[in-house]
Amino acid sequence: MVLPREHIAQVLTSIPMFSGLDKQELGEIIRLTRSVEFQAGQTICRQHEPGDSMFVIATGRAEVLISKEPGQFIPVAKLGPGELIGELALIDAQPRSAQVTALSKLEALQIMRSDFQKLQDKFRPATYKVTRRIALTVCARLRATNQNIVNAINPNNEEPLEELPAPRSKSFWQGLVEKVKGVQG
Amino acid sequence: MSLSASERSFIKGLRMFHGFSSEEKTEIASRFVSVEMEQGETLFRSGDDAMSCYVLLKGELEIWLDQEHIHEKVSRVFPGDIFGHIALLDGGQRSAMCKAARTSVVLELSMFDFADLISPSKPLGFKFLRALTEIVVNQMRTTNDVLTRLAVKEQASNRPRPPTNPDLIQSIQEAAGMTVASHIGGIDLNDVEVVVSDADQHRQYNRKG
Repeated sequence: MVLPREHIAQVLTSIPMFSGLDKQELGEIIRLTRSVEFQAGQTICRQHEPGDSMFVIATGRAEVLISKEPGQFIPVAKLGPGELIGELALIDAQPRSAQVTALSKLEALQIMRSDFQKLQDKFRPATYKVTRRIALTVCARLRATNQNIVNAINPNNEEPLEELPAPRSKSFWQGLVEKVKGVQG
Repeated sequence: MSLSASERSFIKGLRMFHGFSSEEKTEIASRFVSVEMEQGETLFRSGDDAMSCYVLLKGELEIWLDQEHIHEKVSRVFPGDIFGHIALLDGGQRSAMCKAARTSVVLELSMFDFADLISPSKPLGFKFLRALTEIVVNQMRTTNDVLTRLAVKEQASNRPRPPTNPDLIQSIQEAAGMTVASHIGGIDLNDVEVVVSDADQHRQYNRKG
């Protein structure tokens, strides 16, 4: 199965990560993509396996599952068209932290990190822009977490800390603020 | 003042520049200046516009949350740590205060030199961006990991109770959710169920309330 190029372009440009690209740059990214198809119930990626690629869902829906014990899965999120699976695999190799299973017939675009890095090593502007987008997204997430921590320890917060059982709340907040390193800009 | 020979080799030896050519490392090191700080001296406060990013050469710095009603030390900076780069990457403001825990030397890269080094007009800019992106991605993994583990610890300590802070719970949920959805790794699966059940508690709590 191969998605029409026009559909691929449409899917990619709807995603912030690829939205700043000009036509030629988008073309370079499109050439990196491979259309893949999954049937309902089929596994898109497995937990603990090394993340070697990212997926962009073009059509269909998928479920994110984590397993506590072998064979026992807990659904934690649902994904649909335009959503990404494992985009940080473009930056570095980490084991997948969950399983993703197709809920329906699903078409996706797959980009391998090795292919992205080859393009990056040629210093193509498309890879610069995509990397920059990823960096900005990650910065925004770090800032949001930081702000949530600030809100959490703010004594003027609507739901003050005193409502927490004292002994363990103290260690929780202490642990939180002391261990979340590097969140600060 | 500009760097001494030993300060230059300190910059060139940083792990983030591992894949850079010798010329590129020399170019980067030439952009830094060295700044001495007295104990207690403040480098920046939260809300400040970011003018520079830094690498700590000697001494020790403290990071304090210093927003309204909050004054809390949250982490420390040790030699070799790069800090202050997020606000240069995203053009935002400082989200915390940084001050010297004791006499320290920081190596400073101004926003102008930063912009020059990260510019896509040269191969160096691609490498510089990629190195920084790897750093922030790692920071996020660490943060998510810590949040998840703390949520578990909190949960594990016997008594069930309603979470009292929706922001924090949301933060943990988001961190866990993003971790899972992005497959970015570093998350203990035993922990996630706890986060999920914590979230359930929160919903129950809301309904009852």
